[in-house]
Amino acid sequence: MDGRFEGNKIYVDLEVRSPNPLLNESSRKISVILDTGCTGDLILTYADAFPLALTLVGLEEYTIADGSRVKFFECIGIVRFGDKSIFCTVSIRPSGSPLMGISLLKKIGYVIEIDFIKNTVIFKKENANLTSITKLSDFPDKKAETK
Amino acid sequence: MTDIIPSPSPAPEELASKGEKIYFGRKDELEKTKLGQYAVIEVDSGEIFTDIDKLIAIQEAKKKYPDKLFYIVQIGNLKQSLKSEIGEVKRYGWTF
Repeated sequence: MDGRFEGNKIYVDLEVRSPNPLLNESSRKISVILDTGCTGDLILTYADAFPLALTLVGLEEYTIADGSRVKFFECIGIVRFGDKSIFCTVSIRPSGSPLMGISLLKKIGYVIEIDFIKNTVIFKKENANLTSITKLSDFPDKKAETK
Repeated sequence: MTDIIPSPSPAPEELASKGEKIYFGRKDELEKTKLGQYAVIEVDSGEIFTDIDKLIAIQEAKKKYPDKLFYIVQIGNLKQSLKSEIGEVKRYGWTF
């Protein structure tokens, strides 16, 4: 499971889908930028998110770097990365690059090794205290895999 | 056949306005004990679900209020109420 450099950005291919078991066919592979400054799990654009039929759960408000406030619609989705599928939060916005935050990497249980000289990114499995989803119907009745 | 009339979802502005009011009403208490955690607020009851993991806080809120939308904020991220900020732009992740 590797990422790739494009310019100075690290891209990772994730498969994202709706938590609704009736919508499994809606999964899409999306290239996202690994953003170490992103505190959320995943940020997608409306164009990426709408076809996935993610579950809307509310509105999140942030203060951004210039001190102003932004509100993102907040959804729940399922991300597949390597051999693991996990529930995650997905913030959606009108435009911009899709971003993957560090918290998602933690949940998936991978250690990232970046070589800026060779421009290589390698994701290594870590024995994190995580388990893969076995049933999509686990949500929202169980705390699923993110403990 | 029974008609099912869904409860209307609040407009985003209403959700944010009510949520912010509840958050700032309990901001000091929340920042003392749960700084950095996520607060998921059900705006009609005023109930707040918190966890360091946003997903878990949302799941807990959804268990109790499966059909509701929530106002979500990271505790400590918002410094003051929107109404007191001059020049603040309300927006949903974009600016026209």
